[in-house]
Amino acid sequence: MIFTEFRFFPFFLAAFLVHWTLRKDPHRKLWLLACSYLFYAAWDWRFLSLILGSTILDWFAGQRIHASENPKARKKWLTLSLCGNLGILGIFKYFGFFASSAEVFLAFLGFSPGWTTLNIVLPVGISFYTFQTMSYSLDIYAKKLAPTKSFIDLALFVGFFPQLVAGPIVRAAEFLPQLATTRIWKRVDVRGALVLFLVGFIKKACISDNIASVIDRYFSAPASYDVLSAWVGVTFASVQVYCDFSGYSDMAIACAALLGYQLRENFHFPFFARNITGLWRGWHMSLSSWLRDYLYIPLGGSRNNSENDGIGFAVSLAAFFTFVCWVFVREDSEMTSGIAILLCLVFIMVAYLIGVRGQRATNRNLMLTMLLGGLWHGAAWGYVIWGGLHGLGLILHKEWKSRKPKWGWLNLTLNGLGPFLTFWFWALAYLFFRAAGEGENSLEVSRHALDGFLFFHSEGTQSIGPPLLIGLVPLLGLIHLIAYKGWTRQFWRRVPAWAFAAGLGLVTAGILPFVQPNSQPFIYFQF
Amino acid sequence: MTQPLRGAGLALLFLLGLGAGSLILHAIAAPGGGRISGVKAAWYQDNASLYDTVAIGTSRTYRSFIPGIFDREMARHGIPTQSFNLGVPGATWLEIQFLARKVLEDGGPNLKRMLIEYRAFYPTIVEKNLFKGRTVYWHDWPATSLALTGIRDHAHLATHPCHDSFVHFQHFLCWTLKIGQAYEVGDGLLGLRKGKSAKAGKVHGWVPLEQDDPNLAARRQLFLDHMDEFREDIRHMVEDEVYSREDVEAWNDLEIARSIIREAGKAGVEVIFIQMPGQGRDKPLEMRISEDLGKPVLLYNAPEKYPRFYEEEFRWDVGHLSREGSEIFTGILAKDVAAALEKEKSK
Repeated sequence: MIFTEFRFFPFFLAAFLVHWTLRKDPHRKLWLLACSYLFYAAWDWRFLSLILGSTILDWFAGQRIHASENPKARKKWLTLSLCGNLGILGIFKYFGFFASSAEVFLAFLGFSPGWTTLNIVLPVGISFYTFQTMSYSLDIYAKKLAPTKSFIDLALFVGFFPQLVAGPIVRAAEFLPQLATTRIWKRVDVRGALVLFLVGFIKKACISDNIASVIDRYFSAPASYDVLSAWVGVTFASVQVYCDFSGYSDMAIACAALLGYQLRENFHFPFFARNITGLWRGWHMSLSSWLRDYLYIPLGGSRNNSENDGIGFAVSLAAFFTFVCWVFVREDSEMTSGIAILLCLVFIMVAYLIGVRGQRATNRNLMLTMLLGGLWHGAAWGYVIWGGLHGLGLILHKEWKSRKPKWGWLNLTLNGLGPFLTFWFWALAYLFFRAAGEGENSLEVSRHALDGFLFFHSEGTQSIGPPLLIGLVPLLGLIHLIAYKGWTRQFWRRVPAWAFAAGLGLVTAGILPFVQPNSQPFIYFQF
Repeated sequence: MTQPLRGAGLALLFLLGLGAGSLILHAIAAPGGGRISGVKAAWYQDNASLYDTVAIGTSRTYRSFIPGIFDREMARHGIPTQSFNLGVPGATWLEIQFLARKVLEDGGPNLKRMLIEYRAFYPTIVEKNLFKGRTVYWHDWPATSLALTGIRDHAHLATHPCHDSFVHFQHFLCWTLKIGQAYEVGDGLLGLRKGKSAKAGKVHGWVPLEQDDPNLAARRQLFLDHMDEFREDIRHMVEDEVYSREDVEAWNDLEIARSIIREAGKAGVEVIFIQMPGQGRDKPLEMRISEDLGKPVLLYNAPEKYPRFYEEEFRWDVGHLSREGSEIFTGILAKDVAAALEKEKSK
């Protein structure tokens, strides 16, 4: 069940009405928990046991970690929680990837392992709720949080349906206190929630779903299309994922708000950022902050740099990226050798930057965090390359900030061009991410799309659609700018309630013709 | 005012706003239905006064009913006509019923008769057609309620009655709220289809397969490559009481036909049903259907009676006649329609 499907509306209406009709908190929470499990069961009831299992594991682990003063015992229970959650994730998400990658590598060495590849179905939302349950155990271990006394509260924190299948990733420290207090209807910002839901709905059902067919056509056979189509396909893919994912987050936050719960913002106009660091401050904020707090900082973050740090990591990363370039530009590729040399030079620069004295630890931590962030999305090299490119971008920006010449004209130009360059870089990296979704053909798809988008070269002659299609991007950008500046907010906040209700109905009627009734699944449901 | 009452009132205002917006869109939007049915319906809507006879059906009607020949032959039999071909590829029984109602609405006093291709009712909407404009456009309430009633009345035959009913209801919601109908709204505002509908009008709705999309030639070749299977089908059609090649759910639903008859009766329009020369027989049904409906039903899916319609020379593919076959068919049809009309007049 997704937020843009018909059946979601009667489901949510029932959940909402019963929730606010019930007077007692325990009844309300039980009702929401039942709704949440029903919501998940609509996907696949078989995997309810995984959510329940993960909840039970962290319930006991949390209690034991808190109860024990012995550091070894605390660590043991934390390890159990992390291994359990990561184990579930590992089996369902990564087993096939590592098994087949190992098989390829062993075949390269001349061995044929001949093991059976399991055809494992990926439970929806597993990457999201396992990270949530891990954050519960980790916060208790770090003594930032006391374990909840109510199993229902923990189960609802893990399984709360608005954010269950695709985030925002909620922290226990933020959500459990809300569950422990009574929700009051008068405090619900109904207007804000309804407008947010409508905005998310437009992004998903009107924009993302309508351009999906153009993008799917391009990425199914990029070699057949011309250079302009490459730009349309790659650019629209970034627009699609933003509208799809941020649209989902908007609707999730709105649904939670209507039930009296606040979820953290997940996207804050990332494409208006002037640089890649700024973009990551506004993109999938719940995941990036999770990775920062539970991975980057524990690895050392930007501290503990030493002039004597080894360059082993930098060298191995440079070797890895050079290998990736070689895969892309080997003999049977249509790319020229000049391009191959260019890519190799780029990655030699990677090694230098990552190996910069006095920053090696920071750069290593940044790159590791982004690579794992890429791997979080799934079991494909395209996601790893995406993460690696963003790690490279972040490192480059960090080094640029500390070394940039103080030329006013340069800074002014870069400030002005910043959002466009940042979007271009995002689209370039996302090309690999999107191509990863083409399965066995992902390498070929990546090559041809890169050829067209980065090197303005394509043997294909077909066009993905009318050239005017690319004109949609600035139009969407303008609408997005209006939202960014909040130019309409004063209006809809101030009109009388009756006018708001009727106006909302009229606006809804106006957007429905643009809605694709055959709902496309949310992109991030596959993660 | 208490909070729940206030909330209910605001929700009602929202629904009123939604309803008002949908009414405006209905007023603006052009007839839906895609590049053939929508275009033809738009032409007919603007030029109904030119025609007194409309043939409505599937691609079998679209390709085989030749208005020029029909009118000429009808005149020869003493009943001058001016006919229009509103055959639409892949039209379901409910879509035909919807088109018949539209024709009756737009026809005016000139409309004298409708020739309706009789079909079985398929309760399930094929997956590739789900929520397409072509499927949504005919899901107004009369058609949707006929679908729901048909599934309910034949629940013992249906595999997924609840699911199929819900899908039809969802399509009705799409029709009501114009969900996914941006093209039709745009067409209504900008007249995107005007030029195209004039093309349909020039040929009075008929386009032979031989002159249409060259890709259709592949179907002809497929037919020629499987002639033995086709001949086997014909043998079954002659020998068996009931024969059908399809493995999808379908059943005879008289109520849909009766609803067409009722609506036509109110407008004083004659209705004649036609079973086109396809593959499939239900001889017990054929024997009683005219009596059941109280209207003429002309049956051409009878290889023993019309062998030429099933010969390679006069057939384009498994489902359709060639141009020569269509010319013969239209001539015979005109003769039979003239006879049926005389018989009805004398009642």
